[in-house]
Amino acid sequence: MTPSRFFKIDGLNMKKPVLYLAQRIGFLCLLLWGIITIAFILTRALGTPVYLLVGQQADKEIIESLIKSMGLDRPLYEQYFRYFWSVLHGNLGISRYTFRPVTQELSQRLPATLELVLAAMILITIIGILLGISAAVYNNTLFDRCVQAFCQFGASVPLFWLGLILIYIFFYLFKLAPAPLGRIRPGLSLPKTITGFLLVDAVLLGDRECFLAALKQIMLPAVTLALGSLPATIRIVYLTILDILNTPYINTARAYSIPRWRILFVYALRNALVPISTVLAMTFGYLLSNTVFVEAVFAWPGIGNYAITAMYTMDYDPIIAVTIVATLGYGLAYLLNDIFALIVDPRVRR
Amino acid sequence: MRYFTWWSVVCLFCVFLAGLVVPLLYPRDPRTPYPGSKLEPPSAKYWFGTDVYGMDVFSRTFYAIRVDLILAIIAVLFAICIGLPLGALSGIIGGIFDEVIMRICDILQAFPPVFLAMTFLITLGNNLSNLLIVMALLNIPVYAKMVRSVAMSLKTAEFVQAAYAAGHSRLTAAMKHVVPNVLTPVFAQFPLSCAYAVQMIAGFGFLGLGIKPPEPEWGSMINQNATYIISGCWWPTIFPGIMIILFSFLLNDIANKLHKLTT
Repeated sequence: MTPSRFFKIDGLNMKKPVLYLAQRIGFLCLLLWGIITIAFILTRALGTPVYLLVGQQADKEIIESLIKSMGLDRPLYEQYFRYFWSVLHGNLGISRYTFRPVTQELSQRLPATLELVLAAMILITIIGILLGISAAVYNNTLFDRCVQAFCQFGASVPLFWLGLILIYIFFYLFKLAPAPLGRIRPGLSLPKTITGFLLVDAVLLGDRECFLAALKQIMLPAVTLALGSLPATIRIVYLTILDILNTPYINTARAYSIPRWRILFVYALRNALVPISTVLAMTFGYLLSNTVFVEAVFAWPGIGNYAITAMYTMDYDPIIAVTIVATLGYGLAYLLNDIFALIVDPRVRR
Repeated sequence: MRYFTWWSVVCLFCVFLAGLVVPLLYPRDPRTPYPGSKLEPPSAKYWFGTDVYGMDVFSRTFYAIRVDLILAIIAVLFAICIGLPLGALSGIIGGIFDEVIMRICDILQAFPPVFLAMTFLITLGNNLSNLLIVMALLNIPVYAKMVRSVAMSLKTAEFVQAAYAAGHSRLTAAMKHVVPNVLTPVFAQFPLSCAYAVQMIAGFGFLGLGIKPPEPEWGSMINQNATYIISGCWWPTIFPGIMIILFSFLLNDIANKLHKLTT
């Protein structure tokens, strides 16, 4: 699987930037349409939501009245447009378990996930790029081989297992980490929500105790999440930089005896900016998907855990809502990457 | 230098053989709980200890090799059976058909895999056949795109043109003349997809999707005993995880070597 390639459309580089962006935004719209359509087919066309709601043995009258009230007696295309319209207006349905609007519940949980994903993202950006670049610069040394071995081994470790092992080591054996029970230790009251990000809120309110407690809680899940995607990130950064370091223009620069640091950070890095930002966008997508496992292990109250609890009650609207949000997050990260490429790389603009 | 080292293939074969033989030789059944001995640490009687229901971890871990690996292989083969002709036709026919197939593949690949599985399995029913469909859906785009890129380059090749001249349809040209030419990259991709599928099946099992608990499966085994690791019961969690790592590491390694060999 190379998701880094799938937004690339042949011959695009020659077109004007506006067309280029329009194409990307067009794909994002297509993606949104695709998800909603698949969700509709799965819930409304293939299975009847009524049976999922009341079970097979319910009364005939109850079922009929429900069918009427949910608009299921209408033709399928009308149902489809109604569903499409309501999703586009941010109405993602009502949870059958808590009877509250899914959009509301989701927006309460989204900051927790974003905080975790961004924390992991910061770790990956620093460690991944640093290790990737240095492994490429010190190619074929012991250091490079160690990094390669880490990548090969790390890619085989399942994330949920890694999380549990880290809990065992740092919580049970060494008592360094707090119990894996969500964003803040039980008993400590949550601060007033401003942005929804606990760490940011604590800093804004000047609550030192809360900040430290939240930092301790987020440490282990963020490290787990980061470690899960680190091998792929390091590998792609490594291959990109290695490719660039073997090009004629770098060799020319070497022939001019330009200092090594200048070659690396001025000449090579400029060409590496776009591939690296693509890697980071791809990683963001991975993290949004992988966060489910980490949230399950660390009881993190984010959208992943929301989807899991909904799963246990066969509540499909929240799951579809989480899917839409995660896929859109993925798509938006790629769009940002495209805009970045447009700004940084003159070859795309031409 | 082109050579292929066999040690990972031999290792994989040995572990797979262990998965077939161990359940026959080891006395305890993987599905029978022993209520008197819950969460017992590894000992001479229970080699890998027992889990929270008192089921034998050693027997379950090895029995699960059959379940996980065979399921992964079937799922990937299923994906190849659909992706291969789809990609070949898409590359040969081109035009609107190609565009539609490729956009569908794009959409499928943009879905986060875990959420795709959740959506499908919750709405259509959480069972084995739906799990296989989801695993296939995750793998079809990879093969369809790979085959398509080869088919595009073969579109103007002389032997394909000759097939048209001999009166064959585009379907025959795709099946008889394009497909044999893509078998090498598909074969090189196969272990990689299997490794991915093993991890995915275990991951879905961990979330409670697909294979249900009494049946031994690494992911669901870890899930059942996850909460007890806080109180120090490491054995029912660590051993299945090591198996997942072992299999995906070996399969990845084989894939890397095949990739180097074929390019």
